[in-house]
Parts: sequence; C-alpha cells; structure tokens
Amino acid sequence: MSDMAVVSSGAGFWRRARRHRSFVFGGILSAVLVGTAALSLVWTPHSPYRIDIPNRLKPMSPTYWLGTDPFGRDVFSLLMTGAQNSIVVGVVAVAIGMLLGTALGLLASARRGWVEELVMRFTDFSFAFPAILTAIMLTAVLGPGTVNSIIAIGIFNIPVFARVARGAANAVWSREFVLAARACGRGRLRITFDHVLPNIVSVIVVQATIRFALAILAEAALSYLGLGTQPPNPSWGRMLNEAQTLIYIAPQLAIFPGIAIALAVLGLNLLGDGLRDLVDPRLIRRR
Amino acid sequence: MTAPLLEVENLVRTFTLPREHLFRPPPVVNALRGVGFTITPGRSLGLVGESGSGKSTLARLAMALDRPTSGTVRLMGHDLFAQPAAKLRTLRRHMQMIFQDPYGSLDPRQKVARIVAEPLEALTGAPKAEREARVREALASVGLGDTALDRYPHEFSGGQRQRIATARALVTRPDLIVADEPVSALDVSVRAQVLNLLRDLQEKFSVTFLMISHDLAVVDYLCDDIVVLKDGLIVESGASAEILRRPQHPYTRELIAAATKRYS
Amino acid sequence: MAEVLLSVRNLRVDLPGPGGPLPALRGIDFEIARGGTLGLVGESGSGKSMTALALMGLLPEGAKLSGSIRFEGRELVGLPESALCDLRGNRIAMTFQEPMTALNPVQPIGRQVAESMMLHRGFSRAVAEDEAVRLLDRVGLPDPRRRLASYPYQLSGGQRQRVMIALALGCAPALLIADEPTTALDATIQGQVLALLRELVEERGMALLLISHDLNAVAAAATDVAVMYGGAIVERGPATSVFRAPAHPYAKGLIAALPALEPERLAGAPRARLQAIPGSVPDLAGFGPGCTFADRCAWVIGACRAAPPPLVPVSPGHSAACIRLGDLS
Repeated sequence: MSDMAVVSSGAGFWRRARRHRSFVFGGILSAVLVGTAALSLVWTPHSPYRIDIPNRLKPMSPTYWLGTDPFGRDVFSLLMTGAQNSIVVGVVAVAIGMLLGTALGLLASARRGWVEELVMRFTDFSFAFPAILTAIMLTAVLGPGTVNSIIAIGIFNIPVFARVARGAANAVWSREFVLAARACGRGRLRITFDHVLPNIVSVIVVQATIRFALAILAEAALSYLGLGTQPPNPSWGRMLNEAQTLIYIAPQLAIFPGIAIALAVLGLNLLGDGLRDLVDPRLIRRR
Repeated sequence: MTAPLLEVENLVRTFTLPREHLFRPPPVVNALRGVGFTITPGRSLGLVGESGSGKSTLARLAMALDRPTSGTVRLMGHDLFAQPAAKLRTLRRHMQMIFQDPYGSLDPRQKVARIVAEPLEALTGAPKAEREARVREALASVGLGDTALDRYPHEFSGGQRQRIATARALVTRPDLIVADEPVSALDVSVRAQVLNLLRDLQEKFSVTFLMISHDLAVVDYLCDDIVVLKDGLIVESGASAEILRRPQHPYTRELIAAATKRYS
Repeated sequence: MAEVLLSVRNLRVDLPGPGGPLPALRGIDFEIARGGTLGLVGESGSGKSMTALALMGLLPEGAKLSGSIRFEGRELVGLPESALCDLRGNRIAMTFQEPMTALNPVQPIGRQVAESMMLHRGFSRAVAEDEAVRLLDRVGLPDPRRRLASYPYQLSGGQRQRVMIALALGCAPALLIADEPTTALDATIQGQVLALLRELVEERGMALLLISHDLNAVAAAATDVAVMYGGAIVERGPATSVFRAPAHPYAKGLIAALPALEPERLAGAPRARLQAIPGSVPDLAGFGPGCTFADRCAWVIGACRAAPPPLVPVSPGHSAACIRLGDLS
C-alpha cells in the first residue's frame, strides 16, 4: 500500500533530513550566519563603530583577527554586525513578498477568471523588468537607506511568491478533498484557509529560504552602490564598496566581506534546495 | 406515493474546450445531452456507464458543484440552481457525497475529528459539545472508535479511509448520499467490507444512494433502480432486477456480460 | 506434457527498508509450458508485479534477488545486464497497465512499433513498416496504415493497449507478460482485449503470464492460475479447479467477497450479503514469518504463524499453501 507521507510529519522528516548532505551543510552555514548575527548583539571583539585612525589598515593579527579598515575599525566585528543587517533586510523583505505575494496567489487561485488573469498579468509585467535595476531605480526615487532598500527588494518578491502560491494552490484546488469541502457548503475563503494554505505552506517555506539568499545578495548590491544601508551602520555590500579603492593595498578588505556574502548565499541556497527535496512537491500534486 | 427526493430533468452540460484553430469555433463536448430521472426516498438509484458517459458530470451537477448548461435538479422540491447561496448551503445538509479516491478526498493536513466535522461546521450552528457527539456517533456507525479522532488520514488503510469519508457524509444525517465509485479504488479483499457498510447504512439511517459506478455488480448490490448512461444519454432505466433479467438495449447486455462471473 | 518454457524456483526478492530488508517475494515456485497461460492473481502488495519485474530483470534499485528463473533452459538469475537486455523485448516481452505512460508520447505509434522490430529483428524500415501495419491490423486497430502516423494521445485507452500488445508482439516473443492489461479499460473493452490475448496465444504458440487483480480477467484468458498474497503463492492450479473449488481461506474469501452477477441473481434471486474478509492488506513490514494471510484468517491457529506453509496438493495439479486444509472442507 503506497502511503502518502505527510510532509511535516516529524520523525520521518528529520530522519531523511539528517541524511541529506546539502540540507545539513546549508543548515550549518545558515545557523552560523544567524548565530553570528545574534552574538554580535551582545559581543564583538571591538566596537564596529569606533574610529581609530592610528590603527588603520592593520593586517591580520591576534588583536585584529581580520585586520582593520581605513578608519581603524575591526573587520571581523564589522562582518559580525553586518550579518545582522543582512538578516534583517532578508527577513523583512522576504516577509513582505511572502505575505502579499502568497495572498495574491491564493486570491488568484480561489477566484480564477479575471482576478487570476489580472494577478498573473501583473506578475508578468513585473518580471519584464530586471529586478535589481528596478530596485536601484526605486531606491533612487525613494532615497537611499535600509528601509527603502527593504521595500524595494520586498516589492520584487511579491510576484515571485504570487506565482508559486498560485501554482501550488491550483493543484490543491483540483484535489478531491476540496471538492468534498465544497460539497459540504464551504465557501472559497474558508476552503482557502482550512485546506489550501496548510497544503502549500511547505512550498512557500522552500521558496522563502531561496528568496532569502537572493535578498541578501540584492541588499549587498544596493549597499555596494551606496543605495542601501548608510554609514555608520556596517553592511557587507558597503564594505566591498569601501574596499574597492584599496584593493591592491589591502585586498583582505574586499575578500572577507565577499566570502561572507558567498557563504551566506550558498548556505541558504543549499538549505532551500535541501528543503525542496525533502518536501517533495509531488506530494502536492499526488492524485 | 411519497414526494420525490431528487428530480433530475432534461439535464444538459456542454464543455467548451480550448480553441485548436484561430478561425474556427472552439470544440465543444456534450457531456450530458438531456438526462432525467427521479429518486424516491428509500429507493437507491445506480448510475451505470463507462468513462466518457457523463456519469461523473451528472454526480457533480446533482451535488450542485457545477452548473448545467440547461435543465434542473430539484432536491426535495427545491431547484438547486435557483437558490440563493445561503439557502443552498442549508439544503446541502440533506445531501452528502462519497468520492472514489479515499486518498485524495481527505485533507492530509487535518485530523480525522476535523475532517468528519467539516459538514457540520459549514452547515449548522450546533454547539461544540453536540458537534463532537455527532462526530463520534458518525465514526461509530462506520465501525471506527474514538481513537481515530486524533489521527491523520495517512495512518489509515484505504478501506478505513473510505469509512472516514463515509462518516463525514453521514454526520449531517443526510437523506441522499451521492457515491461516486466508492469501492473501485480499494483493494479487492476490502471492497466487500465497504459495500456491506453502505448497505447497513441504507437500513439503519434510511439513507438513499445515488450510486455511480462502471460496475453493474456493485450497483446491483446496493440499488433498487438502475439508469444506464452512454455518451451523455440514458439508454435504459428501470428496476434493477428487471433490467438484469430483461435488458433491452444492446449496450446494457454488453455491460451485464462484462460483469457476470466467468468463474465458478 | 508440453515442454517447460519458464520455470521459477524459490524466487525471493528483498527490498531495502528502513529497518532491514523487506520480503516482497517469499520464495515462489511456478512453471509455464511453451504456449501455456498462467494468470497471477493478487491485490496490492501481493508481489504479482514484483514477479514480472524480476522475470524482466527490471527490479528497483537496491532489490535483492535470489532463487532460480530458468527460461528456455537458461538461468536468468545472475545473468549480466547485457544478456538480459538481449532477452528483454526479444524472447520475453511485457505490456503495462497504463499504455499512456508506457508509450512514447511524442513519437507516432507506427514508428514505435517498427523501430522495435528494426532493432530486435534487423528489418529494414520498409519491411518493418509493413510488418507494423500487419501487426496493428492483427491486434484490431482499425485502419492501421493511416494510424501509423497517430500519436498515443489520439487513441482511446483500448486502442493504446492494443498498440502496446502489437509492440510486444513485434519481436515474436516466446513469453508475453501482460501486467494488468485491462485495469485501465472500460468493462466492455476489457473483454475484447482479453479475447485478443487468448487468440494470440493460440495462433502464435506464445506463452502468456497474465497479471491482474481481477479474477474475471484471469478466468477469461488463462488456463492456469496462481493466487498470491503478501509475496507468496497461496494457491495454484487449473483455473477451472481453483475458481470452482478454492481451497485456501484467502482464495475462498476473495471469491466470496466480490460482488458479481451470478446466473441465479440474473434470474431474479434476492441479493445475498457479501462475505467480507476482515482487516486490510498490511504493508510489506506487516507480514509475519509464517502464513502471510494468518492475521486475517478465520481458521488461524498458532502453527500458522510459525513457518510458511508448504503447497500441498488438493486435487490433480491443484495445490494450496495451508496447513489446515483438512479441517476446512
């Protein structure tokens, strides 16, 4: 008898998860990212804000593990605090996109007809713009800053989640238990919340993990261009920008933030891919 | 003569398919081409036909899950397609449905207690305690104990899941249950349990079935009347015993031959 | 007695499971004579499809095979993949339940049938195409010459099943394995496909292993039958004998549990209540070491659970694997 394994059913999920290499590796990297950000709230080797010109551009040493920048700030401390920034931007931007996008997708799927048509054309329209260029345009219009870059990145996540949610929700709507709910006299709204949403949560979570990585990347890009997080708040993207002119003198200033961005994005991507494998999307479509 | 439970009159349903050519009208499928029959309380009716005969379309129309192109369906005298939404919702307590696929018809994310209570929540404003009692009662009548309440569908076998689906259909104490191929997805050795259960329900709860099946033997086991559907039209209808003994239409004869035991 | 074409001895298949290997086949024995027909009856988890896959050498990844499969005097167990590949689709052919997934959806059916013959029999394209037309005509596909260019989706379910049979026949196999050939078909079409299989067996001297959960289908096309439950053959013998006088409690129960239009009922007799088999088919891990049917059997005793019961003869050629046969009748 082929039993449909329920995606989130505890024991089975974790047993499979432990054996999934990229899930484990991605999970560890992501945990390190979050852990570092959390730790930086209470402790950093040096203050990331303290300017100490005499100690500028120090190489790696027991005091300054990754050296110091042109203002004498400790690079390691900057990276730790920068992780906070990346996570906040990622979480909030993805949350905006996820909430609004999923709502739109669910609405499109529940109403079908012209509503679905409208939502889908809206997503097509927004996909027609290169995301990062438009984010640049938006921050240029709204003015640079962390909040505005979050808004710009968040807006670009809306259509992504709308698409994913609508696709998964349409598959759920075609299942017999939804028909059964309709036969009971349930309205579309109730069916959406009682049946459709719980059955697409896993797909949305997977998407959120992957978009999280992209949001971190987007924030780094905006900050690099000077449109994101403003000084003195540390940001990986801006660290890259500031390192640019010193690339031949102090290459470590560009290398370490680069590695931090790469590892964070890699970790979240692996985690997302692993989740995607573990939360087999075929279960959504089954029968 | 009792008042009819379900009256289906001259039901037509056409589906428009996507265009194949830019300049030609889109192709149209006539799933039902004018079908009518009446079910009286206590006389279950079996709708027999093969794939493409329109029987599943008819089941959906009888449950008001779809709208016909023309024609009417009346449940206890009320035209289902002329009711305001609120009235239709209250009418639904009198009719419930059992689906073919016991894997697909139960939400994998909900516990049995919630699944079985769904029709009650949608239809009646009964207090919580009474709803719980009704759920327990419905589960008991399909042979499942209270231990089932807190479990998920995937913890049950196919036959047990079909029992859960049946309990869900019974919980509003309906007069009519539309059963769409209720045993064809089950293991052969489990089918008899479910068929016997459905038969007991007819007696115990005086439920009347509209049973849809491709298998004449299954229909004959539970139904007093038979309607044979082919290509969206009724080719033969009447009392089961009569149709089995003296089939008039060649297609009915073919179906009988196919369902007759070739062994023993 | 005709020459033995296929002889299966103590065939075991173990599938990898979370808590160690799970027995999908528990040492089954059967034979098919050249030109003979055997129906393998069973429900989900009975091992009937696993038997077919084992014969074809197409077992799933990680499955462990032991025992013996002798086909035309050659031992297939342990044969290298290349040698099996030669046999497959050549001396042994197989058809599947759902032809829509077994046929290539983007290739015209004529090409699929013809190319198989070009590959296995070395025909030129022209010869293979003529032969394809002949075969498609033989399996009852209307207007075969024009249909060569049809794609699978343009055919009905019954026609697709016929095309798949033609595809299997293309290499003139000595053994045809038909896995649930009628399950996806309408009742009235099922009879036609089974009749076709029966005719083909007769006119080509080909042996048929018919696998189905449908007793009616097996009764229509096979002279011998083996009833499987939980990876074991619980009863086997001539179809007439097994169906008329089933000996094993499972076979008895199965035959009594199915609603069927019997002559008496057709004559107007009242409907008798079906005798249901209690319980449900467990998954592979749920079977004990003894008789696989023990947990659902009304006659079960302690000894039933101790060791797998051997097949014991009940009448000529007819045997059942039950230690309580004497007490049952």
